[in-house]
Amino acid sequence: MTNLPSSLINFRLLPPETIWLEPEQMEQAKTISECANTRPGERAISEIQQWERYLNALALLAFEQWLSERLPAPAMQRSPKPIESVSYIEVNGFTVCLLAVEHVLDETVPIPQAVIEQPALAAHFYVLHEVSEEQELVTMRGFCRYDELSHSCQRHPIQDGYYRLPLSFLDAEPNHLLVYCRSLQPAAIPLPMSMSSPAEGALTVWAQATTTLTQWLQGMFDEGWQAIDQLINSDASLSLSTRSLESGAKRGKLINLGVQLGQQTVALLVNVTPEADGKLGVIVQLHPTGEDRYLSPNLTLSLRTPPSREALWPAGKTLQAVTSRSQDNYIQLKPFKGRSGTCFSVVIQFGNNTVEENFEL
Amino acid sequence: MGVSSRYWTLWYLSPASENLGYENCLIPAAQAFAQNHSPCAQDGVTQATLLSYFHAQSSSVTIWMQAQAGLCLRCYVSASILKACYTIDHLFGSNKAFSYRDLLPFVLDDDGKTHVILDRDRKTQLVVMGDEQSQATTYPIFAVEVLRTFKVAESSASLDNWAFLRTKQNVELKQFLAEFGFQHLSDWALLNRARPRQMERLSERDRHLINAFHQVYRRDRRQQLAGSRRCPDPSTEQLQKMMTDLQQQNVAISTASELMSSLKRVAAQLRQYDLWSHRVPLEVHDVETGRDTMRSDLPCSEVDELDLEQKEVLMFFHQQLDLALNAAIAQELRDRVATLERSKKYAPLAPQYVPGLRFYYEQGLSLKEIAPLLGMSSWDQARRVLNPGDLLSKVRAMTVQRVLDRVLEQAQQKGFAQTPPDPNYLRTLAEQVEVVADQEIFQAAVEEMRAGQCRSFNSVYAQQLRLYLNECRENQSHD
Repeated sequence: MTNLPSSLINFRLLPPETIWLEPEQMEQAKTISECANTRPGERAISEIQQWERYLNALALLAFEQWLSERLPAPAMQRSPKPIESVSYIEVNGFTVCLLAVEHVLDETVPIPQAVIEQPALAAHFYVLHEVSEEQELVTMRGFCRYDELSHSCQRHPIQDGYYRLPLSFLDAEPNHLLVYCRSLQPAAIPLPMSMSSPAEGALTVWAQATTTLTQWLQGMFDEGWQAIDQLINSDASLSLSTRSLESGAKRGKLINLGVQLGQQTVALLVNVTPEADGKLGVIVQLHPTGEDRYLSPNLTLSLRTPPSREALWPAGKTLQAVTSRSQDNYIQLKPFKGRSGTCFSVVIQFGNNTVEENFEL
Repeated sequence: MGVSSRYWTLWYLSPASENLGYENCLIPAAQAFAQNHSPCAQDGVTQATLLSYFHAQSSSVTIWMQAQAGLCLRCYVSASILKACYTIDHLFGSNKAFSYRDLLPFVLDDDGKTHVILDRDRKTQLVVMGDEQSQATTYPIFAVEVLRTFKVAESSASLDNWAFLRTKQNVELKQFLAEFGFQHLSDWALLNRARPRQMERLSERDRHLINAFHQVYRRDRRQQLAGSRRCPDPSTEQLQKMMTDLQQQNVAISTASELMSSLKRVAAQLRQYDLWSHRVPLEVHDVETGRDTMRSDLPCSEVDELDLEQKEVLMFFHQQLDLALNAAIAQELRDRVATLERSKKYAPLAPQYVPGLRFYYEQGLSLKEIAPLLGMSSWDQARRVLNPGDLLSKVRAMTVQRVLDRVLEQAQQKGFAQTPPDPNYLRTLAEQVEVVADQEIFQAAVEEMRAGQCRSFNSVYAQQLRLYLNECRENQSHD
């Protein structure tokens, strides 16, 4: 037998992995795609979108099956996001964005611009599936990591809101995805916190996760929220300002404001306190970090109602806002109160860069 | 390191059914020429040198030298063509009516036995006879056509990519694909998957036809989930609805049967590979160097070597490989039976899994032959239940994973790797493990599965698997 040298077959030894779908899964996909259709207040969607949803649902079910047969007890959860053309799933803490196409004969991978550029839609991994509906067959065509994709996509043209990357850009070995999910920490593939695309302007999006503040009072803090003294130097002005914060739980998060500020990082501090009337009081401050004594001028910190889930990108309504002047050590929103379960967003804006953090009381 | 052996290893067609459809051999004349005339081992330099000899128009280069340089390049291109056929096979997916073997006769037609040069205008292939005479050939060799049309100065494509593009554009190969490429799909499934990119190459009228079809057929398709999955012909009602929609677009079609035949005509057009494929070489443009780099899925050098110290870690995993393979086979067989037992539909067939695989791996029967022996309703059912390819792929994944875990542990203990590891480090390590695992175990297993009739399963994988299958049988008979 004549072996083809491995250097020649370095794309992948085996043919692409395929997943056969069963009638139950076809039925489920129909339900999933129709469920999405009957959200209240939504316009009727076109047949083209409806078909996309159906294909996406098939890819989602196939991927779930594929994973469950290969990862020992994966922590797997569907993760709906306000975008139609792809679906999301959380696997062992990693966000996986699933792209579905019906063929790869043109050897290109269409990736919606938004799922790379909008922090709320960014994922650790992007997996391409080919759905052959008539054959009840889904083929895994490859995947890529966020860091590699975001680095490389700028070299490729955008057409109709899609980056079109060569198929060969993807890692055709799906086992590598399993290797990553088993052996890496999600933090090893950093996802964006800010947006720096001027075209997007002040567009805001539903951020990746909502931070639940009542959990803070029980001592449970989401990843990224750190004790305040870990974040900022204990210089005089700072200790003064934090001392004025009331008791309760306080945490801070580093926010990167993007290239236009020379990678300036600011610290968003949030303090939550139970009030006598059963409500929760919230104080939100923005501080400089590192050696910086002052915030950059014209940084705006605002409080908004959360973005609506119904439509695609509506920003919430601004309730209050404060803008930094030339020598502000920090800026602060007026303290506010709310009942448990209330949602709000805090938006930091500088020029065209917008970072949004979503909270639930 | 010397000049790459790609310049004197020829891949040629060998249609005997028990092998892969091709073989390779060493061409001594090409080896001697490449080694004597290439100033350095760098691949780009070697190739440029050989091309300049092949196209030389100066009297200092004899036509024998031209022909021998051509032979080296034909060897090089033969590997690209073979790879292109595999790639097309993979692109069309796994459930189709053809394989790369069917494509080889159209493009892998060089036996390396003739000396060929080009005429001065680079229009015609000339066969070199004795006495430095040459005459136009009646059978142009495809690999030489690739070389003839490859213009370094005008194209940013590498020779590899050019060979891929030319293979995709080979007229006979395209005719074959038009007939068999989409044979597994009904006209209606094909129309369903047409997108703007395909439609823009059709007439406006045909685009309207497809749009009307999508509106009606896709909607109903999602409703008709029970029963056969093959897309049925559109019903009279569906055709009527499409006609109404088309009227609004001022597309006049008077009868349902006229619409039906129009749709079939559009579907026939959609069976052309050209409509779906990309027409230019897809190379990745490297901004830093300003040049097009080779596609990562085309031949390139081996995976980056890890540091020397880490090689001792790699030594370690050779020992782990057999252990991991045995454990992976045992676990995947158990898991597969358990999955079948949990399935509503396939639970009754779970006890047939091990006997089915034994028919496949011990007696070399095809799935089609096995299905009736196990009381399965169809080839499709046997394929879904037994799926030997899927088992192989899972065993490979698990073997690699097990070895990788041990190697990573070692690397971390010795301080070669961070904890948790860096993603790129992890991938490089995984690729290293895969290369060795594939060379030692899985490549042979995949190839014997790909071989046609009269195949026999002799790989390490097949042998180990048979041991476990026998053990399962004995356990069952003791129960």
